[in-house]
Amino acid sequence: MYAILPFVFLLFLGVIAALSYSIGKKISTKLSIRLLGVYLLVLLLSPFLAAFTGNSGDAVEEITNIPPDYYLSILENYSDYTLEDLQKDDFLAVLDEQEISIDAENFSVENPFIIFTSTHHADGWSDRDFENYLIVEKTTAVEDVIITQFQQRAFISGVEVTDQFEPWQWFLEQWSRDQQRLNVELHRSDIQLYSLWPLLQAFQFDQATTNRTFAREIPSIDSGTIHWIQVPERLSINLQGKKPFRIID
Amino acid sequence: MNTIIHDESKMTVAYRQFKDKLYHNAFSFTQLIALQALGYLFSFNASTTASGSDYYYVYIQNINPIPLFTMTLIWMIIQGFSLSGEKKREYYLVSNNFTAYFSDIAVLEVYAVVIGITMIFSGPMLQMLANLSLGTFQPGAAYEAMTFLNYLSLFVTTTFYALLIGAGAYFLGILRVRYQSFFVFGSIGVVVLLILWSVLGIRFIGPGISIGFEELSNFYLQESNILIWLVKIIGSIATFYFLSWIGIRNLEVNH
Repeated sequence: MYAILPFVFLLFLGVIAALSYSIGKKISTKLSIRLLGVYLLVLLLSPFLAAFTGNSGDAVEEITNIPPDYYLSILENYSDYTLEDLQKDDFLAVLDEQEISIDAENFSVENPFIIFTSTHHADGWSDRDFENYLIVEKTTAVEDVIITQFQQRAFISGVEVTDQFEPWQWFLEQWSRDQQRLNVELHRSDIQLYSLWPLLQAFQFDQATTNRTFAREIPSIDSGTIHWIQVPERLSINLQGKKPFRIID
Repeated sequence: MNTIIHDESKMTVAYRQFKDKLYHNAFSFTQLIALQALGYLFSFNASTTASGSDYYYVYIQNINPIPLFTMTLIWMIIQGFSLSGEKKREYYLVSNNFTAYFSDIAVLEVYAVVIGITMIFSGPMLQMLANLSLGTFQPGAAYEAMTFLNYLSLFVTTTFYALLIGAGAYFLGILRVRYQSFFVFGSIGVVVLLILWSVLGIRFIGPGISIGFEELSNFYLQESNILIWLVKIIGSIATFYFLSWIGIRNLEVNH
């Protein structure tokens, strides 16, 4: 592998030489010196610019303010909240709002609208019950089924990654010949974070220390989801899955 | 006029030559800026760490200044190589091998210091660029743990490494100027010898012994004692300087 490096290097030199030849005559010595001056000035100012353009630190403060498993405490005391309360909650973010069109007249007590509380995953993982995350509200305010997904705001090392969570995808599934049910599909969320490493390979004297600092683990994220499902009041519903269900009449 | 010039000491002529070279090679700084711009670009995609669960997977894209450092060292190689072959300016009529050599080395040392300075600020520069372009950026624990001594160490080490690379490239350049077409054959010969060494080494000695960039760089990078490191690095640079002087002393300056 090393044998090819000189040729790669020569190729690289050739590209640089060609570029230098093409622009070299257009850039005078004085302009080059000025360019260097500006570049060095930007470099010298970069610590201040980095501080100026960086996060103010508010996000870090918010993390400490969010109680652990905050979304679970809401789910436990769901009757104390309204949809509007959750929308205004600083610790939650509205990740998605989905509208599923149905005709309430097509359903009755004998033929209820089924909300299937056991999900399947797009990537073919094992099935999981998700009734723990649902609050179903019967209301006259809607004609169709409206699902609002809340996510407890999530941070990694002070950086908010809430909006990188994939919303659950709700859909109507043909359940039997005459019946449809509400089901959901989960996609794994790929969360991306950028982290700056120092130029450590140039160091020798503190290598043991820096190696220790280098070892890092990706922390678990304290976050969770709440799905507030609004259904028309006159719609007969049946939740298929484990009880108790969180229903607001 | 010539008499006045010839009355000046070698050091004065070398100093003037040094200033002249710095000025007339100012375009090389533009090359440095261009190469470092590329280095900053490559630094943004250095490596990825990933971990997660069924519900989420966290990818941490590591912004690592190593590509920037590499591009900067490539610039130093180019400068060392081109300085050794640059002996055609009219000003050098009054110069000799010593002044040409001395001024070349001085220019390389200035370049090395410039590299040291730019590397100190590479971290804040990357941080600023990341702040401006990435929403999900955090400086990183190791980066934030850097102290004044770390930065000082970074400046010293990068300056010396740049000087080592530059002196090595300068020596190779001198060999090229001195031996011309033989240099090409010599380079090919060295590559063939290295390949033979690898093949024969593995065949007869086993994989335990190998000479490569990694082993070579570990000679400096894995040294934890500062004094021994200084001896190694200064000794290496001095060796290149000495070999370069041996190579240049009988050369025609206006060659």
